[in-house]
Amino acid sequence: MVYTQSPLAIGLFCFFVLFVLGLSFYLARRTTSADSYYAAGGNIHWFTNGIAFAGDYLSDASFLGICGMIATAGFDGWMYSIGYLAGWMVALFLVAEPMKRLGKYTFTDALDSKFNSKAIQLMAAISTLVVSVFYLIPQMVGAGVLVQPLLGMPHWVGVCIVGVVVTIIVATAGMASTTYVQFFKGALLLICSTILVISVLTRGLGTDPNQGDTKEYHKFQTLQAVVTNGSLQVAGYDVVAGLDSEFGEAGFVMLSQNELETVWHLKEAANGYELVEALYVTKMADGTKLFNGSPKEDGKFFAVGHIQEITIDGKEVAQTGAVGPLEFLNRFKDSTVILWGKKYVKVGDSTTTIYYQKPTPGSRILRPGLKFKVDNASGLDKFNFISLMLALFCGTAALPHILIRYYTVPSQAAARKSTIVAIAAIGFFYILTLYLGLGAMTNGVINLSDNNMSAPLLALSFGVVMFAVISSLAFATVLGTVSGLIVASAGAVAHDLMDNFLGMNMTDKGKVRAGKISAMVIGGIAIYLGIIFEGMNVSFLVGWAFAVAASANLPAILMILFWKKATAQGVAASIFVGLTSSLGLILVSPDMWVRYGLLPQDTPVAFNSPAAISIPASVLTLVIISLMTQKKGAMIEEGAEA
Amino acid sequence: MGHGPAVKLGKDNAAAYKSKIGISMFLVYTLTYFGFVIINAVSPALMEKVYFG
Repeated sequence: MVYTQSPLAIGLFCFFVLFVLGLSFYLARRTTSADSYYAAGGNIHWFTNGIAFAGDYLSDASFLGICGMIATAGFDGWMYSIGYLAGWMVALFLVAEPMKRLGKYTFTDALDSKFNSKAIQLMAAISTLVVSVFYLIPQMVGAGVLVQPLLGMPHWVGVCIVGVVVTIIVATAGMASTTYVQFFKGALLLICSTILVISVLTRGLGTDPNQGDTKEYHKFQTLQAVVTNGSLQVAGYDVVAGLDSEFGEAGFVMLSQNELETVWHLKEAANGYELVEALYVTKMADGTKLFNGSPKEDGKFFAVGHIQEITIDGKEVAQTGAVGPLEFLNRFKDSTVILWGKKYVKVGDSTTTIYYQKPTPGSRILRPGLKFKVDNASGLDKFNFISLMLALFCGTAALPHILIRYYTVPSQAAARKSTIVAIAAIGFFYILTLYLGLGAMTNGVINLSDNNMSAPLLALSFGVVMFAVISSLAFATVLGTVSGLIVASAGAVAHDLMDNFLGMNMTDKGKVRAGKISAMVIGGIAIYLGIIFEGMNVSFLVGWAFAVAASANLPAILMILFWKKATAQGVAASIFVGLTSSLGLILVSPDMWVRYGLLPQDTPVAFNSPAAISIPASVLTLVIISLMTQKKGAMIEEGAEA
Repeated sequence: MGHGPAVKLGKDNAAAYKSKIGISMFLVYTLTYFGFVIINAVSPALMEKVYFG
């Protein structure tokens, strides 16, 4: 799919960058103490902090990744929204107020508040860095994905732009500039997404997604084929790869007409076969890719997403006209939508990814089972799904870059109120993602080779202005989230490791300088990671960050708050076990096996989400080690109190 | 060590009471959430049914 750049999008993009940089330099003049650098002086209003929470949390995984997943997998993509939101209630009920009461700059402060333990300082800092890096990778990859349509530049340039801008934001005014960048981004994201959803509802549903009569949708064809003397015959086409080829074995054939090769899905019919047009991407041995047999620039790889049939009161209609939010779902439920399956065919050194049409009832799309294996699934498949939902539930209240926002408000009550504002804002946004995803699914805007761009391309279907606004916003989204991650990481390095663990006893100015230098180094690492992880699904990696945070951090946080027998050794050991077990299980998971170039069925573990194993392991470790070290732990506690 | 809040906090006399309420609400909420997840995992077809619509 080829994107076109708009001067307006570039203008908005530049305006936002200049705005946040100007804001950062303005706030930098007031950021002279460690309190102001790491916690914005603890004077942020609870409402501002609540929206900044939303700006921090609603990353491109939410905005681009989830919309893309809903656009291709329906309700299963929305399950991520549900899981991400669910975790906020854990933060509200259990974590918000104690976190504010116990900590100062980092979440390690709260964990270590009773013990003054080097082991906790080290393990919690490492955990912060690992979680933040896992979270950073998809944000930086998302930056590269965005800059391509916005500025027409290659992936690495986008990553570098984001890395440099965010590093400047954090290195100038730390948490103060980060807070306001996140606040503006959160507010703009909610407003603009609402406008886009209203546009989707006003357009309604239709069987010809011509984007308001502005763009013709590719008419996917169906051919008839007969078998003569064992070989396939199709009128007007030459058969390039027939029934006995690798394509034929996978249920497809490759035909040629006017030197253009196309792939078709085989379906048995009364007089031979019915051939349904498919799309394909061929990756050659030298790494070059052909899209429907041509270079990407030729535009032969069509955007997809359409409804085959809409039924209202038993009658077929072509258009619903403008609908309300509930009517939209009702009409969608009674429609038949074309979804796209994916198969791989290997011929020699080249691999072809084939995308084929799958007519699916709307009601089937609005329930689980298209992405997650839950229908007639094995116990292991169900376990994998439950484990993922557990990680999302437990992960939010354990993400270091979220927890440090509690230190920016003046009181415990403000911490609680800001959590409620965050829940309202984030919940509302996740409802919008459902309409954005289903809108992309039915408006002919999905790029099957990269569904992360579904939301901006849906905006493009409403005109260049909307596209420019949404794309700039998506870029702002990266800035807001990455700046929060870099503040958290810089705090872990400068405050937890250098000042506390290594006992460097820095002056107030020294702490600020250490934080700024750490931010620059971490910004450089983020750029490098963003470049080498090009091409990976955005939301998928955030799932890993949640699994590690839920396993390494949450058990320690909750047990310190609510179990009096928890000892320093127990807490440190549980972070270590949670971290290593979740990371270890991820690295030997089927998804990683595919990335190593191995077959997923050969992996030593058969599930991708480790939380259901690693969280209990972490809790168990904390309980056992704490009980074994009771006397020593009690002495440490007494010492700390003295 | 540098621990303790970045700003001076007043004493919260209701902290223990709020903590107790928080735990109770968390337990009810957790059961509800995992009930929903289990339905999705074990009986996904149930999610297709329309109630009150």
